[in-house]
Amino acid sequence: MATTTLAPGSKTYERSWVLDWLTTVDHKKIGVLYIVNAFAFFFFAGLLALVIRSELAVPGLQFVDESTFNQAFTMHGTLMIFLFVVPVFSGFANYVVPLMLGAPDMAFPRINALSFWMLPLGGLLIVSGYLVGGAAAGGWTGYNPLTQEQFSPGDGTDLWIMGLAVVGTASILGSVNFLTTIFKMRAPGMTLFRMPIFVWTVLVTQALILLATPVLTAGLIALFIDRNYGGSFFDPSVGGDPILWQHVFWFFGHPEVYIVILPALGVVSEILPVFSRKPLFGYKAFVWATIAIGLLSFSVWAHHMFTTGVVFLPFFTFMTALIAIPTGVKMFNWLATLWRGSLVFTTAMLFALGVMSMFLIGGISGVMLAAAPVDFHLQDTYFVVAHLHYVFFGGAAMGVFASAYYWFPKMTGRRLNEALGKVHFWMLFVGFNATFFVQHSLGIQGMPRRIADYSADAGWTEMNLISTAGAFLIAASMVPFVVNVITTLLNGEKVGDDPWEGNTLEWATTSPPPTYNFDRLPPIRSERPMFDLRHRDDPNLHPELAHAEIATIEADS
Amino acid sequence: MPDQILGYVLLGAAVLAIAAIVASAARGRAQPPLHPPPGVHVPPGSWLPVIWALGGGLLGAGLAFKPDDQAAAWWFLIPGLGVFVVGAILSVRTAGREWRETEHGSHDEGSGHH
Amino acid sequence: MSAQAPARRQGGFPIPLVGMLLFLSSEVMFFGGLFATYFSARASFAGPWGPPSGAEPLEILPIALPITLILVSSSFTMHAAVRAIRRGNSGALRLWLIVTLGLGLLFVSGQAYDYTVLGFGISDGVFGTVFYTLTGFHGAHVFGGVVGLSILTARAGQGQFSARNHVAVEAVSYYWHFVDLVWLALFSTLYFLR
Repeated sequence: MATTTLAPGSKTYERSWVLDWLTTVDHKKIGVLYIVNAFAFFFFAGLLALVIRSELAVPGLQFVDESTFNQAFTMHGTLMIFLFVVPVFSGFANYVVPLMLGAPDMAFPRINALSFWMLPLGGLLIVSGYLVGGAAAGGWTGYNPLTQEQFSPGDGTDLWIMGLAVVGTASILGSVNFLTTIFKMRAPGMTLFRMPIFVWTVLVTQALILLATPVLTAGLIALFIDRNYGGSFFDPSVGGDPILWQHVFWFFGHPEVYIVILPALGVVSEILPVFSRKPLFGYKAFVWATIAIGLLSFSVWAHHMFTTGVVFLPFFTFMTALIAIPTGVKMFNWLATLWRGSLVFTTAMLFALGVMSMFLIGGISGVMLAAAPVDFHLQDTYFVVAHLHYVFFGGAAMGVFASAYYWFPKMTGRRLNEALGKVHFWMLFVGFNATFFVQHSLGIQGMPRRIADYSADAGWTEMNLISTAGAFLIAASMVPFVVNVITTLLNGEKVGDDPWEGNTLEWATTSPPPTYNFDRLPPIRSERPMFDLRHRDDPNLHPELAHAEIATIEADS
Repeated sequence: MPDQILGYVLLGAAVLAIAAIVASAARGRAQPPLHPPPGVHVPPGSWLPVIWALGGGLLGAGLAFKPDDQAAAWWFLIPGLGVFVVGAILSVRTAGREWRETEHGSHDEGSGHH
Repeated sequence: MSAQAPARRQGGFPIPLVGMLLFLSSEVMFFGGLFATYFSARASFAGPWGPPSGAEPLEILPIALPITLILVSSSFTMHAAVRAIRRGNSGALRLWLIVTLGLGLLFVSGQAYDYTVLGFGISDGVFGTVFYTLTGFHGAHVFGGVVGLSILTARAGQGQFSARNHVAVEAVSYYWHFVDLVWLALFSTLYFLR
């Protein structure tokens, strides 16, 4: 074996676990770090959501003033999107993608660690606004001239800008890593069209991150220059254009929402086949649909700007409606996968079905908003808030929980308790719909978003109360989840390599895997190498694999 | 003032939550050292990512906290630049050391040769 | 760059170069965002477009054109360095790296000097803002390239590059050519397209 610095010697394990985790470059540990960090920000931003919903339950300002409320919804949005939902999927992808590819690690392990550590630091920068007189309060979208120095004085907005720049840079470095790994480090026999679907969605997601995030960075820098160095990018009083901010922001912002949802759709596409005991219907169509969504996502940004008056409405309505087609293809592929399958309703499966149904509702409200005349009435109302939460929470966040229940056994060697999991799911499902379904009506009735208070005569009070009750139910549903995680880690039911009878390569190694991931790999002849391995004696299936030996890499011992 | 108190409370809650989850996750993590198959090299741990991230964070803070009459908040920027430069120097030295070990250290097949 | 070791023989396009190309595409999008602000401001500006009154209009002499020629020739010297090490000539590699580095430093100093004589600043209206933001970030990228070249020169001095093991030189050369191309686009936009 090699010299001590290139292979793990026993002295690695005499160090404290703190040092081990601080200096790790192992993609599995980094994945866990991503997930833990993301959930910390999830709970923080969730508390902010409770602040918002508590204040809005009944008319009148009972708990916070307008300034605090503005900071609450700004930080809630910013932290949920940039510090929870995108990084948590980066974390799952970090853990799972090299395993699914049969690779020993990511292409650039140290840059992988760097990408992680920039996240808590960037998040700290953003949140530290609270300690210096007020966090950013201009909405997660940072529209000008509200975020100019004149209307957002103080360091909170500057910290928001710098924190997002740090987080954005981390994402871009991560995307270089993922794309290089996927293109260059697949196991022998794994062609691009034999990769698991989750890897395909990660590929397109990371390509979007690579190309869209730098545009946000450019815009953030421009805003920083305006605020601090007397720049004139967006300030109309000195020749700048506030609409330019919207263009630059949404050119990033729309691909961003596909960055959020695509990994969740990928996870659903992994879970449904396993728990239907059937292959994914239409693998190739799914791949092309994912690529189409990625490409189209760059052509629709101005649908966030229909009411500015500067947008060529027919084009953007058309392109936005068009992007619903590949999304619909995925929906039908999933239905066809479930059709006549032997369904097993584990918690992971329930969450995957939850993603399908909730994302369907969110997608439909999205297509409604795509029609410019409809958008004229619903822009900046609670209808948009309902839509974005159905896709972000009902789609992406439920996908996060699906991933958690599905891959927890692989990561820890223990299976989460199914009874507690089901309690978590149903409480979350009911609470989520209670919170957000009524918001469609609130929006149609004209309730604007981002307001701290509303008139008692508006007739919105009852629905706001229902929505707030739902929000507290969502919060309560996190209790069985956290209890489940902690008790399982301490003393949960142990599992072997492949508790779910999965299809993909992460189930071909121990739970948790060794540092170097695989001692040996099965032959790879399709997108379901583990299924093929289990059925290798079935002459109807891949006759060339009948009685195949499993070996490519030999273990030392 | 209410903002600050709320901020501290939320931050404290988040830190406690992280600590609790990390503590319960980290227990029982130590695995016996295993030998990878030949040709598979597992990179050792490194402080460089934390150093680079810290440098970047300090630089960001230095720019964000800038007083109105100066170009940046020097209290953060100078240490940030310092950490960054230290990180850069350490990275170059690590690269050199690894190159030397790959070329003249192990004799596994084709590992250091691109 | 550190030693990468996959589990099988490495074939095809080297991993560090794939990483550099991907990184450069993100940089294209970054500069694209900045160029978008330039063109947007230009398109909606009422009045004559250029430095504010009181400052000289932009001229390609005596600074802008010479530093352009300097940067373009540095791409040629960079390529000479790459060709040298592909042939295994470590000494010529060092020489061409030092020349490229010197030309890069000349560019940055020329740009910095230009800033002192232009007569307007970043806070002097939209033109000043977009001009300094674009040229400033480009200059910073050239400086980053200079740092990379210095590291390469030091490593070449220690004999760390050979004909079959010099991927870092190739990667930095990609970056350097990219920085040159961005400057050509910027120079044409600022000084000719106007």
